[in-house]
Amino acid sequence: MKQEEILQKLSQIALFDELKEREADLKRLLDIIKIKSYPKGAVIIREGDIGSEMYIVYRGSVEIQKQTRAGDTYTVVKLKAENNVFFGEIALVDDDKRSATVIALEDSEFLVLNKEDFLKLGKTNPEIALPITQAIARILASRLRKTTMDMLTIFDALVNEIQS
Amino acid sequence: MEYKKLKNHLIICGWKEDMEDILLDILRVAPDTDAENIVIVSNVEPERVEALKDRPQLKGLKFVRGDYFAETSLLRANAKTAKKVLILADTLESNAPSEVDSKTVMTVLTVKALCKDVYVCAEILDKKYESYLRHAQCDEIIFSREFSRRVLANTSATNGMSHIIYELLSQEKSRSRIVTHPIPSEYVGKTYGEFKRAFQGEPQRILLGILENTGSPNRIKMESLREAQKTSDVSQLIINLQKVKELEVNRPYLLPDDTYTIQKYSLAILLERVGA
Repeated sequence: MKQEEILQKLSQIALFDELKEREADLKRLLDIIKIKSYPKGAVIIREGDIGSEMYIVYRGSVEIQKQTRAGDTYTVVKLKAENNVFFGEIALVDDDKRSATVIALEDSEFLVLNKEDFLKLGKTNPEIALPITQAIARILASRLRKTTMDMLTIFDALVNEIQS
Repeated sequence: MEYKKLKNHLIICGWKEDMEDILLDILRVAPDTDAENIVIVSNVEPERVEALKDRPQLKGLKFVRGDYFAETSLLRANAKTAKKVLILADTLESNAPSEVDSKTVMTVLTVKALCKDVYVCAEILDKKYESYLRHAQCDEIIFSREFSRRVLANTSATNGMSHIIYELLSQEKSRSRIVTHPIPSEYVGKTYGEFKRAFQGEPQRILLGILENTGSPNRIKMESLREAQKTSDVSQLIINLQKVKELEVNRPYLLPDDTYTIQKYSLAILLERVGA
């Protein structure tokens, strides 16, 4: 796997948008990235587990699965490496209780960023960690807005139900 | 009498003056049923039930004397393990529609309290009781007076309509009947158009439509509820849950569009030549 290829991949990931023109910083980030391979069918992360790693799909594809309150499993989405997708990013700033299970749909490779390494990098190179942390904060803010909207939707449905 | 060992039987609650014809029609349209598997629950005099048994086909008929809406009577008929309970609009003790229909609603409530999976089919006289029956989880409702009125109305507009409907149900002259058939599992999720093509080489059978949500209503509702939760989109979840709430058991859908998607628990409605 050539370093240039991985750098190219990192520059395409939305989380690293502010670093894409800063090759030296991307290279510094690359130093703490590990490459992990999973065979087809392997569980990469499991819903409910506590995790400390973020994954970028480098090659292959994954399926995101969730469980209903009744305990049934359903597929949320299937993602391919070409779509420049990542998951588990909250683990970089906090112990992340995984909200979904991710399964490799084929033999796949991932660029893996560990929380401990990321926090160390942040201490020595805040100019790299800050934009990434800000991007994670934006993701969290967006999810919070969605949760608020969801609550209002549930509230409206409840009121409609009582009125009917 | 008490029939604690009976299983998968038919319980008929109530009595009608033309009970003999009703029973013979049931045996004719359901050849796999025999009188041994039919229990009548009614306050009618036992002699009248005995008189029915003079007919060889009705010899094994079973009878529980008592109020058909009472739990004790239904337990004696072993309603918990019955295949179906048919509740007649019984005018034996009262001709007042409100009283007759109230007893019917009470009977549905009692049967469903004993076993919610037993299929209950009830005849009512006044359509205003429909909502009570639906709340009581009645699986099928027969509006006999409404049905007659609609046939009369149709006959005024189209000549021969009453004969057509009568013939479809009685099979007296023609050798055809309306039936429902299971849909092969490979067609679930496919379109009606694709399923329709499977009947092109079958002149003995004409596909009329789809009967949706058949089988045990409780099981369908529970499974639909589980399916409805399979989304991470809350708006979609609410839409799904509303659909489950409005789910109507045994809903016929005649001649749907070719793009209509065939759902799980559907049956095909066919007009078929008898013996086909």
